[in-house]
Amino acid sequence: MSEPLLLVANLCKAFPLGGGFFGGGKRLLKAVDGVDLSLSRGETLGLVGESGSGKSTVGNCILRLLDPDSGSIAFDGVELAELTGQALIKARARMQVVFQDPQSSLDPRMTVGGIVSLPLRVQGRARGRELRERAAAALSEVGLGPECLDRYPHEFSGGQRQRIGLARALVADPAFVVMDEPTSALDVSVQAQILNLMAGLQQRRGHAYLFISHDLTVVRHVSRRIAVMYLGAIIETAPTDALFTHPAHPYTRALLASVPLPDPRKRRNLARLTGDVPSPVDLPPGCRFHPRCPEAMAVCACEAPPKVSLAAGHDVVCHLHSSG
Amino acid sequence: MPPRTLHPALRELALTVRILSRNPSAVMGGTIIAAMVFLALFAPLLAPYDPVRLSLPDRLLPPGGGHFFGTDELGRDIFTRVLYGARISLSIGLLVISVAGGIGALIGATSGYFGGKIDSVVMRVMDVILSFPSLVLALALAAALGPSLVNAIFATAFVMIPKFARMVRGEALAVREMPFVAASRVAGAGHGFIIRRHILPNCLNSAIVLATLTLGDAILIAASLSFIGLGAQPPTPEWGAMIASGRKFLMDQWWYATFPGLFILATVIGFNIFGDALRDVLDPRIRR
Amino acid sequence: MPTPLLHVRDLSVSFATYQGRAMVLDRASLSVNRGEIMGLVGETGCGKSVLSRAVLRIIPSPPGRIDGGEIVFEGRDLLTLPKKAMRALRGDRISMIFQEPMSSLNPVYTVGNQMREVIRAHREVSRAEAQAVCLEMLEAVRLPEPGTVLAAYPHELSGGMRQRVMIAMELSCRPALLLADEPTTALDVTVQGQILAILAELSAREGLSILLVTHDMGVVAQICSRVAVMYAGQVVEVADVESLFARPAHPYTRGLIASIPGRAGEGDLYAIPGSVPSPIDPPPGCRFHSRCTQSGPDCRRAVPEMVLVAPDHAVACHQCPGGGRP
Repeated sequence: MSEPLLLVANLCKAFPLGGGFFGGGKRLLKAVDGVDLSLSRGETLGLVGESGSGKSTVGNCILRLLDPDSGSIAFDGVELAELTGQALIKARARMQVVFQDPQSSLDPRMTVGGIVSLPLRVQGRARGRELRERAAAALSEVGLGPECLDRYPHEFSGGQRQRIGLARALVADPAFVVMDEPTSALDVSVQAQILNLMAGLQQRRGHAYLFISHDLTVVRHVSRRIAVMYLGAIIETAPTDALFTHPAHPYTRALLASVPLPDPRKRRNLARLTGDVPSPVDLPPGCRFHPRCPEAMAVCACEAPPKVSLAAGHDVVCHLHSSG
Repeated sequence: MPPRTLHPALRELALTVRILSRNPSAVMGGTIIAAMVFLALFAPLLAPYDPVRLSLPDRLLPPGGGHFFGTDELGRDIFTRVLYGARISLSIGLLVISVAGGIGALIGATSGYFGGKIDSVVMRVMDVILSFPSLVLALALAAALGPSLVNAIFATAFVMIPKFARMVRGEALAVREMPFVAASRVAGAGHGFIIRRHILPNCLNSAIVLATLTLGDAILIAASLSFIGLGAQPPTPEWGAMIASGRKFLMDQWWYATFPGLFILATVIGFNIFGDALRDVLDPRIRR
Repeated sequence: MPTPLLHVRDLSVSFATYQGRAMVLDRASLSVNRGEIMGLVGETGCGKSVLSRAVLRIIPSPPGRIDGGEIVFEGRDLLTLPKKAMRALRGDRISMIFQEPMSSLNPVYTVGNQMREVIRAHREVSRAEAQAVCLEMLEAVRLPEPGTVLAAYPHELSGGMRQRVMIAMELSCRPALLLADEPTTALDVTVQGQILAILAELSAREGLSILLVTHDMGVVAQICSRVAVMYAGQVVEVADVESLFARPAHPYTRGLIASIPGRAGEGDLYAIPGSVPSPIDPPPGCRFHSRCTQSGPDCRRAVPEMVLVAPDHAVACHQCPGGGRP
């Protein structure tokens, strides 16, 4: 296999909390704490986690919407983590993003044509008539007609707005798109339309997707590989089928068991875990999952678990699987 | 639905006008403003006399007969002068608000967008300006610059800048966190582009509301400066200046100062209630 | 059949908007039996939340207006009840929990303060008795250290704890009916599981009836005994949960179930074409006809009536065998 399109190594990002003005008593919220990821061309990697797991922060660091504290982000052979200014803009030109909220991800004061053609315009790759034509072409790829060009976002439904967001993401022909919960705000029937559309676009254009979501069933549908995050760290990475058939980490198992299956004949105990996700401000020592883990051992409370490879592409960070 | 062929921005405007026309206070405020604008525009046609020509035999006539609002101590028709005064006061208001709004919005948008140290410094400067009573500051500035209408406009605009800067900054702080700004940054947009195309347009509604609400204040401050003698100079028929000269005669010739005063009152109230209604109507939560 | 605890019949609700009057509920009917969890599913804007709010008569008016129908609860029509009697009913016989528990809790009072307030508004009890009820309720929703929770302010609790506090508070007067409007939508999936388990347990143990408003077919399948499916302001199908998932009769219900990812595995998902019609000028006839793959000429002309296609399985569709007109 050729070298990956995106290679993220040991990514860390912490946010200072409170204390604020005089700097006294500052605490750190470790949103992302040593994350490794790799993504090949044309592939979809699912990044799953609950709120506070840091999954969106990972996406924002890769896009350099946030400056990572440390770690490396190699995109298409270029190291992004340290770039600034024009060099960053140039290196990032083949990345795009689709956000969760179809309402706030489109500027209400711009026409759809202006929104969709914006990447081409700011990158100076087209102007005037051509901008309009290419915006119309991108819109038609997501199933919207050219009559939409002169309308404003608020005239569209949530699903249509998300299509516009997709058109903006693909107009500049990116190699890689961060999908940050792109269907979480949509109804299930509309979600299906958008997921099908994304899959079709990927087939035609060969984009690689980082698909960030809290919804395991959606991630399962779109991704070939899945990384599960908990409190800022990836605790398990596996090919989709392996993750669903042999989940190795107790958290992954609990997560899978908590999904309410849409089948009344398969009722089960949904309360597999107790308590909420703790705050990423004061991380527990040892394994970050041990206070909620149904299988916690003595060692989990004091020692950070190692990364263990169970099979090709199936890694887990858990003492249960460390031999010895 | 308005026809699709209209330019999209015009369609939005048409919707706003339609919603406004169903709002009673917007209609009332709008009517007062429209009446003032009408009087100002057609003053030369409506006014029965020359606003500056003296006619000493007709001095200080009470309202009635050929003079609706009476005459002043130099025999000039007060109705005529009030109409011409509408031209001056409305122009002053518009000028002040455009200058203060434009500069204030630019300062606020830039400061709010970049945040950090720039923001702290700029906003503290604005706080210092705001901490003076605006009339006193305008007065000091106008006095330092010398009495003239242009200087009064400049002084009034200066004291109004912080209001716009603060308001737009607040909005800019919210807008810069919006995902569409992030999406543009990823696409490669620079700071200038984002401020021009995202931040400023999204602050426009609030700026328009604030402009409408403060237009009355601007007219009032400018009139006050003229009243003191630092603004419009005789024989310019400015409302504030007219009140100032009418003050001496208030006991016996009440009409002299009263009519310009009533016009200032009506204009300020008109803009205030229209601004209030506009704020409600432009609220996107209500608009949908 | 026993008389249902709650019977909503032909309820119509409209809202004034700048574009015109939106018919948000159009002759919607459903019933909730004693001790059951009734699911009310539908997509955004279908009117499911409005229906649950109409039961408590907490629709903001204006712009909202109840245009007709009746809501019979324990033998009384709530729509004709005097305001005072209605107030006495809320929180006592009928309670409600919402999606975002933080907005239903007052940030400046402690949890205990607010819970006791609710109890003493409806019951003549001493402070100590109220306190005892609070502790008992917090234990019933499996909150560890109920004493500490009572002394805490809402912002000191996590989202899942807040929702549990809300449930405890709303159930402290032992209501017969709990209206739960998307109670787990704002929560993480592992916490959602805990809350659903509590609701199911309370219903089974205390005989509490729950009207569970949700958009999530998975939640419905897991804890509801019967389901009503809403589309564009109308109830289009009512059935027991097994029949609904095994033999969905309405084309919309079938589409809704088929579009859930992860059921059929790989390949394209089934997607219902088009989007929900505007409630301001809804299409004549069946509101689903423009998106329906099986619509016929009848569908454009007449609104289909609810008819039984099996015991406890009613559907409003012209194309179902025996469906459409009575």
